[in-house]
Amino acid sequence: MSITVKCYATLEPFQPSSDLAFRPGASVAQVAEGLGIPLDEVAIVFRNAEPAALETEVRDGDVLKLFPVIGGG
Amino acid sequence: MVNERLADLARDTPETPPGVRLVSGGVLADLGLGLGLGAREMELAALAAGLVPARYLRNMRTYGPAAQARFLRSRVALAGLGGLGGHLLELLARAGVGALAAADGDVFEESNLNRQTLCLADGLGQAKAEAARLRASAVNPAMDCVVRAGFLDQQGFSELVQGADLVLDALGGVAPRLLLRRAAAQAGVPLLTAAVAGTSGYVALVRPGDPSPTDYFGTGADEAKPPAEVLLGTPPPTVALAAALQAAQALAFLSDQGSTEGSGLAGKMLLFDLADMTFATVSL
Repeated sequence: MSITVKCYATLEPFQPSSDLAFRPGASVAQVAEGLGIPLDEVAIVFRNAEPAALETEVRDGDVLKLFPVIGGG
Repeated sequence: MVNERLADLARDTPETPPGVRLVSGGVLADLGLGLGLGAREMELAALAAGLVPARYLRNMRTYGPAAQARFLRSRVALAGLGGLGGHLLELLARAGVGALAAADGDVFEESNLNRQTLCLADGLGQAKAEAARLRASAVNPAMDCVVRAGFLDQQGFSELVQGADLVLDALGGVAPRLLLRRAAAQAGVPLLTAAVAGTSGYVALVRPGDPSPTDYFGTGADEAKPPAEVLLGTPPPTVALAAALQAAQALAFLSDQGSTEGSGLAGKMLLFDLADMTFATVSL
């Protein structure tokens, strides 16, 4: 299955250059770890524009957005 | 009597909506002097008489006279007068928001010059609160701007948001945002929050009882590593964009008589990244 990932701010260095191929049943955490992202740096996960958890199972065609803690003003 | 005097002095222009005429600020000021009325009262009187103060002419086709009067009757609380806060003060004053209660305890330093519109090369060391007060009255005397010079605790934030129609979070760092979030929720006032780091940022309109982005951020007390905005910096376009999005959402909210139902970001979060020019609106 294929998913799209967008990494923001400090997670940007882990941004994949193309969509990712994953086996069905993979979790958000497994996707993030596959990209080398330390899980404690992911503050908010959005799956298809809805909040999700690291344990959430991803599905074919999903769009994941990974956002860290930011506070600049 | 005021209405008759105003009607005599009005000018027509093709830019105003049908049936609306224009009156200059100088005329309103002269008339207000004689009547003992301030700029805000005179502008409201003009709008009630079907006249648009000329300074708001270019607002008319977007907001209209009724929304302009609502802006002038609005009270907004603004926490933070740095990058986001300086732009917000400027935009809200020019838009014609009637009352602003703002606070910041910081003074300007050189590293503020890249993005903080209130920070000037000859103003280093100046209190941000003082610069904000001067700028607000220079831009729009109709805006009643009360600025508190101080870093606020929980009680201070509660006082700041008291009586506000909307609270704007323009703070720096995570920890004080949590205090402001609690104060707004306890007062039952919607909170319009934003933060940036590098080319990324977010804006969210948090109604009382709604989740906020900061709910996901822990206490912000993790000293183990520098925060994202320190690691990545806060470049000028990112800050200006986040503030402009906040201001646009604030005016949409205020023009809608305080209803969050028609407001685009109610219960949602807009994420943007200027590195790839992507914008996404997600639910919280």
